Amino acid sequence: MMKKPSAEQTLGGRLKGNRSDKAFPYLMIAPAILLFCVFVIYPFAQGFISSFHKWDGLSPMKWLGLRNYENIMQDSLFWGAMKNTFLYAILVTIIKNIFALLLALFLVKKVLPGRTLFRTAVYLPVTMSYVVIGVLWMWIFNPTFGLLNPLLEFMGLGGLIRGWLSDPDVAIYSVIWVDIWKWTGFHMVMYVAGLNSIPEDYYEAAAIDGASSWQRFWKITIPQLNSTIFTNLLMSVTGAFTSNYALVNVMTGGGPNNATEVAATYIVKTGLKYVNLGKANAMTFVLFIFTLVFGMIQLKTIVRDENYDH
Amino acid sequence: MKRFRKALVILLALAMVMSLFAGCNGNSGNNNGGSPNNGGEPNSNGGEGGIAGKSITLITSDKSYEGQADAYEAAVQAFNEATGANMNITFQGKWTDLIQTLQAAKISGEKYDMTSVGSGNLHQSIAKSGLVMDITEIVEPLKDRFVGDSLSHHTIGGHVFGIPHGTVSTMGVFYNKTMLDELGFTLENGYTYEDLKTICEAVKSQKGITPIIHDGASSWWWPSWFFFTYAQESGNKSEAELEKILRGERSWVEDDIIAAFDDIKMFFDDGLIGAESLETDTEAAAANFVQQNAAFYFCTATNYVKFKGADFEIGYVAYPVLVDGATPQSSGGADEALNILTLGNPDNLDVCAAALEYFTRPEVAAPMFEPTQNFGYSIVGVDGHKTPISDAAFELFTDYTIMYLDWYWAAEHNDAVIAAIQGLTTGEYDGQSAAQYVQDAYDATVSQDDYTYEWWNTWTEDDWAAVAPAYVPAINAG
Amino acid sequence: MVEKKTSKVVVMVIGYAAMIVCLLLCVYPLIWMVFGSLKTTNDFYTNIWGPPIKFIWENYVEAWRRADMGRRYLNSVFITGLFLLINIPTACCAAYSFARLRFKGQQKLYLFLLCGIMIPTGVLTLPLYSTMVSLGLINSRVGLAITYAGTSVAFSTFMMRGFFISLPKGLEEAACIDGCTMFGAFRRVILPLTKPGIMILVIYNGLSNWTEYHLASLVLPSAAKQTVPVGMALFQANNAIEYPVLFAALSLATVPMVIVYILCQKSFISGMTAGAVKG
Repeated sequence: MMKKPSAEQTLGGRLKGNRSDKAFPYLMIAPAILLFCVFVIYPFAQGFISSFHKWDGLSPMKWLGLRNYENIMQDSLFWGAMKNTFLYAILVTIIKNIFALLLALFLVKKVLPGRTLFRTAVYLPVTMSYVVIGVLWMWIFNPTFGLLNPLLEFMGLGGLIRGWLSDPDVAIYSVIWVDIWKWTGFHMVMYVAGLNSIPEDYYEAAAIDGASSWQRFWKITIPQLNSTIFTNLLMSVTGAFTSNYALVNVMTGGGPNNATEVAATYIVKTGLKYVNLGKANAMTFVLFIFTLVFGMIQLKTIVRDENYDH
Repeated sequence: MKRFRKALVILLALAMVMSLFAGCNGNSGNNNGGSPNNGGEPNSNGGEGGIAGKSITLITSDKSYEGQADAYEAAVQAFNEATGANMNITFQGKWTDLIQTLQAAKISGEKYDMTSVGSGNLHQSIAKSGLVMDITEIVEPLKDRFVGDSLSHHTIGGHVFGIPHGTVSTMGVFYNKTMLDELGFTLENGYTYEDLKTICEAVKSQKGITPIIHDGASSWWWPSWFFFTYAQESGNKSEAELEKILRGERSWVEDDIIAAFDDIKMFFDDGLIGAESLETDTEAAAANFVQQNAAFYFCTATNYVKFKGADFEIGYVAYPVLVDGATPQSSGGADEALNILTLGNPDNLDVCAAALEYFTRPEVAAPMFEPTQNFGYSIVGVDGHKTPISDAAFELFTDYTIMYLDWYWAAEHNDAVIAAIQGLTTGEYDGQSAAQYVQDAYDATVSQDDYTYEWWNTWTEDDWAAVAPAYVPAINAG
Repeated sequence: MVEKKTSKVVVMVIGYAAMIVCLLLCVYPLIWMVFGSLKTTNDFYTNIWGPPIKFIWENYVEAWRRADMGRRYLNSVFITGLFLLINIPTACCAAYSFARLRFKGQQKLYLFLLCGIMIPTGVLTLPLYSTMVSLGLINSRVGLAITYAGTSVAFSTFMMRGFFISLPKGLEEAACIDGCTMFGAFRRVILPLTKPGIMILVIYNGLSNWTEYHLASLVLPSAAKQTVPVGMALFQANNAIEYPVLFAALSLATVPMVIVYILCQKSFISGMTAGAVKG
């Protein structure tokens, strides 16, 4: 029979572990931490330092103290962009994940003709370049030869027609929609992988006990998916805060009249167009703090650390 | 065994990588040719030992027009043969990213000698950073080689920082000549807004289309409307008045500016142009024009290339006259240039100066420009590429064009003007509030970023010394 | 019984309808891009949504030649491949350690790493470039791959940890009856079970780095070493570029990613842990 491993040999036991066992976890994380410090922390620190200076990347830095930060506090464009960013983050996260989960649930069924085709199809927008996406959706939204307006009229919904990208009240939702369209496929893939890692017997056991599909979903699927859900949510939120520059830029460039300006586009604009790198790095730091706070909130509320209890 | 082998492979790969990492150290030979360092004999007198044998490098953006990179290489080669120097050219990054290219060049410590900075970037950030040399005296003998005012587009505060070398651009009105002929109209420079309105009314009623299209979704083009309306509302003194505004001597919120903004609104209110222009990017606008969904396309002359295959005749004219007695000025400029960097070795100045002279010879410049197939170039004697509209466009450039106003103001101001115009077109602003919006943005740059228009007047002697050439090499302009 | 069957049918019908809509929304754009790449310029601007009137295959030849795709592909493949070779083992080891081991400072170190995904990178290209200069990594494809590994490690670790955590506890003890080492347990037991996660890392990180433009354009300026996105950007920067040819180039750039996805798909289709737990 199996010999029960002694305390020294189990991974949980560290009491009398020999030296190589003790060092093992640290060795495992060392390359990652090293790369991280060199290529992320160090540049970030450099950027942080430059946030206290006036810098154009070409001439020497000039010390400004907290002036960049003071300017940011008064900058209505920045706070407008932050507001848009929050809106963007909330809508995109919720809708993307709901769509993705529903799609994944449907696509994970054992017998489903065309399953592979669907799975590939939904992922295709993820692979498309921003250039193509920009032209594509601008042309779909185009009032003269676009596809959306004729379609709405065909369905009798002509009253819904708007200036999709020109109406300041609507533009941001159009951009949000394109973001959802592009990334849902990726989140779906994550959910599919997550769903597939739930052992079948859990469901079988529950079915034997008479649980309905709904109960099985809530009591088994969701808890088992906990880490996948957390990963997807955190990715969506942090992505909406920090990485939506390319998409917004190619769709509207932040217009019309700043209606779709998000933090990422405003930061890049300040840094690269206005060549005000000090202020841009200050905004980067402020945005980082916001993202960090939201990330921590999610971490505390969503994650259940099963692996840590003994 | 299989897993073990896999792990071994991974470890080996890591080891390989680490060793390569250790091995590659600052191999920064990023030229398409040789090295940028001075390979010739050092001249303690500052270069009087002659050009032969010296190496210089010019860093510029990628030349993506078919055959242009080769043409540049060939010209550099010919220069080397003629002078015995060893000039190299490095192509890096997009034209619009040139600032990042130069920032990276500075950080990498490469001693580039020359570059090509666009006028907009020069005005807004490059000149005041001290990166380009003040070559006023060096290029004095070459003054007459440049078309029209183009040298002034690279001259700031009386100091020349670059010489124009490349395409020129102008903005105006493309129109569907066939359609207008059919409706019984002809257009000539000097037509009025009322004339345009009449034509547009006919187009609307008989063709059922919105007459004017503008690529508003490519938002950086909106200021061009302000350029032409303000040119006229200011009594054709827009450049001078704008400089006053930027110096803080007068406000944005005054009658001429307000009138200029109101004029833009007028086009929308009178139905000559519609909301679809707000959603239409450059490609879609071209599509609209080619599909004959619009009769007029207000844009830059270089867009002509997008109308390939259109089955109707196309014309290009100036903007309409909005104000009695005003000249319908367009905005444009000679964007591309050649500059000397302060990064380089001072011993190389004579080679750089010789290069400036050589590349501005018409017979040398022509093959360098030709691949762009532009309607006109900034070197006298180099003819533009002939198309049905090239003569009209070049006439616009020489007779009607003033420098783009956005080369005067800061990038923040430009974005404010864009936002203000977008607000105008959606009805959110009127002329007054649009002007106020821009004024607020301007005030913010002054209070927060210490914006000064005439930064050259704030420079100390040391600042000027840093961009002054070590000596003035003699150029034989022939 | 009958009700159960009806509701099941309803679900299938709605599901399929949704699938068809998704199919249209997702596949048509790709088809549109390919159609666009096969049109003449005039056709591109006049026949926007339909198939090409005439199939201009020459556009692809033109794009390949003008964008020098062959060399760019090779460069991108090399860089992305090397990047993945560094990124995957690094992230897996670190994620495993954070997920299934216990050691002092674990929480703090993990949160430290997690900060990495919350840093907005928009204007950090220049400091990163400066770091690369000090390390002598510029103008080197290997250098770029290493840098990519550095910038992606936080996210990769975060993602992989999620997969490691979702595996049932006690797997290592159960499988390692002969007292294997900790690394052995990791390599032999846990790692194979996270293949779906690794595949997702491959397609996601591979995608981000395959399409990364800013750093690549600064670090690898010379044409001989340029990557695909840099080539694309330069291609597009040309004001006179004909959009059909541009679309052809973009199609050429997109196709490899689709292929990689299709190939990797199989890995996360079938459940992997079911067998392990039963045994």
